[in-house]
Amino acid sequence: MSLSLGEKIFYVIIILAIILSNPPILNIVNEYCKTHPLTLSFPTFWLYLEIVWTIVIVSFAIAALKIEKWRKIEERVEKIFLKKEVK
Amino acid sequence: MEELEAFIGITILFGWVFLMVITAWLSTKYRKLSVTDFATTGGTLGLLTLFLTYSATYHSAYAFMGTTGFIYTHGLAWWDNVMWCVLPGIAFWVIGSRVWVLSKKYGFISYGDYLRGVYGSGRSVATALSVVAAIAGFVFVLLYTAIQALGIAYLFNVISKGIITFELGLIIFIILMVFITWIGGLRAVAWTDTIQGIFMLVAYILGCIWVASAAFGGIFNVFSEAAQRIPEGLSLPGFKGAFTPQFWTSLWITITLGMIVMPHVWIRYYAGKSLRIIKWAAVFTAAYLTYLYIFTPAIGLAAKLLYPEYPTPDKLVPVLLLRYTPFAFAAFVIAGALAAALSTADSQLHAVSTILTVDIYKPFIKPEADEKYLYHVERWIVIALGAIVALISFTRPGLFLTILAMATSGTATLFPVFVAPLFWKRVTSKAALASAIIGEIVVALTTFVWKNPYGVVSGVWGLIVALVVLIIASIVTKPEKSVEECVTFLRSIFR
Repeated sequence: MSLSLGEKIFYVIIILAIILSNPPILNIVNEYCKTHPLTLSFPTFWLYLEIVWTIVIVSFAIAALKIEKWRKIEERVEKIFLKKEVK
Repeated sequence: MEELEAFIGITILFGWVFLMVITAWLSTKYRKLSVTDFATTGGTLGLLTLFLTYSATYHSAYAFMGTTGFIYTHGLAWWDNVMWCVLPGIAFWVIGSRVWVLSKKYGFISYGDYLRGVYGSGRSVATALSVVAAIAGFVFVLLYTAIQALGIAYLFNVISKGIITFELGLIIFIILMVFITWIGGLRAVAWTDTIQGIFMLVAYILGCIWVASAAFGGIFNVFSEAAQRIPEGLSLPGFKGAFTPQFWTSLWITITLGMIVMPHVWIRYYAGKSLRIIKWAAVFTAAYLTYLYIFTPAIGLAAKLLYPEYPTPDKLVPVLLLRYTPFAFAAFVIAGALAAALSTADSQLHAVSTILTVDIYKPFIKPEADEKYLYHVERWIVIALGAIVALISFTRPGLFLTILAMATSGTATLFPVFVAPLFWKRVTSKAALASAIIGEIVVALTTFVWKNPYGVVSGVWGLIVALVVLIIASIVTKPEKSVEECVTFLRSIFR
């Protein structure tokens, strides 16, 4: 199973998000949060994770829109199953 | 005043019950008298219904009540949640799309028939595996349903100002859950989930904002006061020091993987109308599950600031609502909590009834039963399960509560068995059976005997052992044609 460039970027973003949301990186962020509990009036710890995972959600939406391979998979499946059901 | 509030509360409550009953009844317009339609709608759900039934099912009463209690107890370590909110959305696409394709090719409609199908070359071993999974699904999910009903029934009492007793609330909740499932199967459940999903999102967000504004003058004031008075709650390891690095990581792994393969979540992979709908449902699911919690930190920290020593933190949401918002609004938001609980409970009841019908009754009791016959059987099973849920809820046997302690870990352990045949040709039924059984034994041992060794949640120990057993046993046993066929077919599609 070969991955398209878009898929590779998307999966790298997910892996990066998981790395950024877990120790040891999270421990470093957590130390910062202890001295700076708030950033822009929001809890720093919460804001950090919210931003990381919002990037993942937005990337997922972009991937769903843009990845040509996923669209082709949909078309392939439609040809095999859904048209057959119409007949 | 008290009587007027009781009247308002009961009106809102029964308005909600009425709306659910009507919605479930309307869904029967599209009903077909077949077990496939009852179990999966025959794969006809559109985008809005699919993503909201997945999301509302995924977020249980915990989303409303438990998260505030979680923040109250552990501070913002609670946001470990974010990973088990976003990743299931992505899994819905990566795993769910493949399961959907196989269900279209082989006609899978349940938890166990998927295993019997993909591991089909193993014959009796595959059947045994499906029975193990069915028993695990039945026990863990049904108990979860009962405990959820128990936890939520007191809200009826709160909304009605004591007129509806705890027991009566429990009975109303269980009857409603059984009715929705019985009348329309997954379609009725999904339609009511759609309304409940929208309702719980609006109610919960408004409730959080209102409480924070009324008690502190806004959410930023809550955060700023929390930073001054309870700063330890704004970072790890939280108020009680529980969120060590190993606990943080092992908790999200267990819950994410455990939830993805829970029967009531798995069954939704079969229900989409097309792959395109599944893809977009997956995207919206990730967003919904995450942003439902956008103002949860405010209400959780507000609760800690206002009631530092509250004995039952999971009950703080209604307490805050009743104190800081008008009664009618509080009752409206609390009805949202009931919606969150019901949308999960009826989905669980539906999944367990499907397991018993398709994975136990059909293969072992009446193999010649046709679709219509099984449809009627499943509806009777729904009623019987409703009675069992009521029995468990009223008697609250200690043993069941003990078993429930390993529910999520127990299903997380089955993750490799369910997902490996989507990607790896070499996996075999014997290896899968060994993996499932040994994995569950390890979860039981690390839940009850040697509790969470080295601070790592039992699910991860079970998962590691299950994965190792699956890989080694697959390599030493003979490859099986059915798995090879599934993987080859999927690769030809997802190339």
